[in-house]
Amino acid sequence: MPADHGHILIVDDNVLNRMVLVRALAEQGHTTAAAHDGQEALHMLRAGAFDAVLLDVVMPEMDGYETLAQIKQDSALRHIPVIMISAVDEMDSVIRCIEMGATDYLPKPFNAALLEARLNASLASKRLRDLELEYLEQVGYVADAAAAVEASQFDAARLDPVAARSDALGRLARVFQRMAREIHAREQRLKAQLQQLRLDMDERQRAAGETVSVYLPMDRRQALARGKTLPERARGAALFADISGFTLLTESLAQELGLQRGVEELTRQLNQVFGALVDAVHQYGGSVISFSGDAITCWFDAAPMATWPATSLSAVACALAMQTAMRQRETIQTPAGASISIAIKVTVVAGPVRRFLVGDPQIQHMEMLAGHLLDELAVGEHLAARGDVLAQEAIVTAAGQALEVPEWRVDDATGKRFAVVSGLAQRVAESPWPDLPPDSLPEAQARPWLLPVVYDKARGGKSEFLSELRPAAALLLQYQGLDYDGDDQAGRKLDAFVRWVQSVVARHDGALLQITMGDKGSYLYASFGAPVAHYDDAGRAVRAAQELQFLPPELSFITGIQIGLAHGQMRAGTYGGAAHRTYGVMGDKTNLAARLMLAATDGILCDEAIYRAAQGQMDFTALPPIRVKGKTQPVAVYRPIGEALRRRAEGLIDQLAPAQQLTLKVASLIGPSFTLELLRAVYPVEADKPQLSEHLRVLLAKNVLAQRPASAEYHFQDAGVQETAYNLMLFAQRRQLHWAAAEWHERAYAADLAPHYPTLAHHWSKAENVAKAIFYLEKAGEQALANRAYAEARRYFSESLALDAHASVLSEDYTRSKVNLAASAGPADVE
Amino acid sequence: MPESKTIDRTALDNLLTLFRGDAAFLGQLIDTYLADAANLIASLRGAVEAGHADDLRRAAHSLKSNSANLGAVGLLALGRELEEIGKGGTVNGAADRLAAVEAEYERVTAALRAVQENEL
Repeated sequence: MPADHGHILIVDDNVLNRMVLVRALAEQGHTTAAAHDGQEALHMLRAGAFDAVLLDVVMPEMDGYETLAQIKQDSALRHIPVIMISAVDEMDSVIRCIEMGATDYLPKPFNAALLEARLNASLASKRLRDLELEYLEQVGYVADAAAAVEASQFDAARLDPVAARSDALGRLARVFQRMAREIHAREQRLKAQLQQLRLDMDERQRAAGETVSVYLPMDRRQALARGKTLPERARGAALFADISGFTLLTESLAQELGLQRGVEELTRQLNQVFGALVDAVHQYGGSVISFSGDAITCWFDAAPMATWPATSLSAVACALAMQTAMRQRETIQTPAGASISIAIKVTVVAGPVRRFLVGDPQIQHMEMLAGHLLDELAVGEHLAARGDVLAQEAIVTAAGQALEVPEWRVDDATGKRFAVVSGLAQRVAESPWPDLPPDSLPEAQARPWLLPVVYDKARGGKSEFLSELRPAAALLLQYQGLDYDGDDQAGRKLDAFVRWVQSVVARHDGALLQITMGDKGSYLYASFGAPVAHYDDAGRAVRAAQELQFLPPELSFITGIQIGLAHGQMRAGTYGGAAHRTYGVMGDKTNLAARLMLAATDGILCDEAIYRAAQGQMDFTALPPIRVKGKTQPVAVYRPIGEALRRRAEGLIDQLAPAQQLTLKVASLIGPSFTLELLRAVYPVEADKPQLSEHLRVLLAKNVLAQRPASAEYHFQDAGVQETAYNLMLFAQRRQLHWAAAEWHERAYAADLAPHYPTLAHHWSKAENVAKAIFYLEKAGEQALANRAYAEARRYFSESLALDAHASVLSEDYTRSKVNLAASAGPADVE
Repeated sequence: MPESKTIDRTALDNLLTLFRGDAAFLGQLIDTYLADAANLIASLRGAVEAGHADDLRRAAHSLKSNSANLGAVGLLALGRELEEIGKGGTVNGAADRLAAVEAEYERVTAALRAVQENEL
């Protein structure tokens, strides 16, 4: 029905009138129904939806007055316009009807124009009234919605009918809906964050009671507290739990919250998940032996248990408990509302194992499980999927009917069978560790299990300050040559090898973080850039890798060294929950480095980021891109060169007496050329200084150094020898000597430092006096700028910026002005 | 159609306008009116003979109303007179008017039949 037509009820006892009106209204486009009297009219009005009533005044039974009165008393009918029909001689009755609420009147006999005009006017006012009512009703919905938002019971869908309006109220409803949804979402997030904060506070309260002993495996803690040692050969069950989803979570949180808040949030999430897993392990009498990225390797020793089938049953029960704990945390909601799914797969094997404690106690003790059982564990891990608990066949056989096994998986390569365990047919009693009194393990005794930097923070309960997202280089080293199961000397050999690796890595200020026997064989993981950062971490990692290729003679049993290096954003920090923590550095690039390690069958492979960061410090050969697991595109790879040269130089240096070697090292630090005066000033051993000119004479005779006629300056014959000699120095020693060299320059050239700005910048930078280094780099840069040596200027400013970024010693404004300055110095980009 | 005071043509024209010129429907309406008027006149007579003032009033009202619609001005006036008598609670004086009503009805019938035959 068109908008200006209505459904009209005609109420008249007179058949002729009804005929006329029905027909006339039909001609005007309305639909009609007719009633003979008031009673019938009310009945019809209540049953149907009429837009107007034409009501005769004089009717038998119920007349027009009473009908009108009843209509006006009925709230459902009151708004329907009533037009009275009356003869011209009944005007007084019309007036009475208007007073009673009739809208209008229509005189008889009917006039077409008048009928149309009066009816349309009534219909229009009815429509307006309807719209008004609808409007008010929908305004009511919005008002209700506002109240619901206040009462936190808002259902946005309830406003959909109002939001569908095309007018201002519709827009109001849409805007309101959107805002209310946002408020609701924010409220939910706040609630979640509040919940997090509560958990976090619990965590912090627990952390306040944190002792450094939580960095030790629980069984080690218990043994040490009782003055006992753990045997190197053990029998029991090994459990490997691998968490997936944290790499994606890291990326999401860093994007949403920025690096610092992102890593704080991430650490919180990591701690909750690992905390739950570690608690489960401890509850079933197990210990976390090592963390490798987002995985933990755990040990359930049979010794304290009745039988070893009971031990492996405990380990499987623990694995199921871990899955239960994970299911409560399977979706992590990020602050911006993204849902990240987190899951674990758990594998359990049982048998004999070697339990090694290796490493230099001055640097860090490292715990390791090794042997054939770990190979078995790796097979199982490959067969496991997210959400699985897999148990080795022998465990299921020994367990009899205790395990529910809906499915078996078989490894094609080895034929080994693993059971998917869905549950326990009988309860397995928990066997929690006894509580250790807080002072049962002195901090000094636990210290070797932490990296020194981590120890310093952890002692004060401030280990969370180590958490950051930062660029770092990952060095993954694979090795062979140890028979863990068969060789009784395997522990001693591994210890010697690890100590050597630790010393090489420490010389470049990196940190050896993990030893793992996993699906990639035996490998070591070291990071450069965390926990201690330098602007040239990639170069340090490459130099360490080059050194690690050349084993000293006493370690000749180690073979097959392959190294992968990759550089990129890593999350670094302590994690693991309140009951057991570790310090880790983990990122996508750790995985890439591991892939490159496996591909580096003849030495070292670096990723492109390493090449880009270190190409100014050393030469690389670009190799054909290779395909690695986890990357769809082939990966560009590079190999650092200069290894043969360095070996020759090392051979040459090895032939020198120790005092001459030190002279050469100090000289190498000064630069390609140096004077005796400067050498004497920098040389650290006062007692040897009188012999320095004799040392130089020997070095000249051996053609290591040369001297131009009538010059006080000596210089290196071979840059390789200089670099090698330099690299052989311990890092701390280098820092100290650079400091001495810088101070000597400042004293000797106090009258005019300008020509020595670059040299001063170099020494202060290597001495890690960042403020001084930046000061001289700025000076050198400005000087180069004044000389229109733009490329050089850019290099100084870039270097200064790089230092700055790592040290943040200057204000942001100053940095910005320097960026502008560096950019204006030439067209190339400034990092 | 002869010039007459029996039917006011403007009423018929008005009805045709209401029906958007549908003469056939006007013809049906005239039939209905004449039949209904005959019944009403019988009711008037009955009411007067039985002395029922209210019945008189009601029938007279309808006759008046219907006649107004069709422009039967004579019957309209007679209907109004009888309705007033009925309203007074009596039938006194009504019997005198019945003959006039019947005579006028004859004229109206003739006039409307002529309209039907000649014009519709």
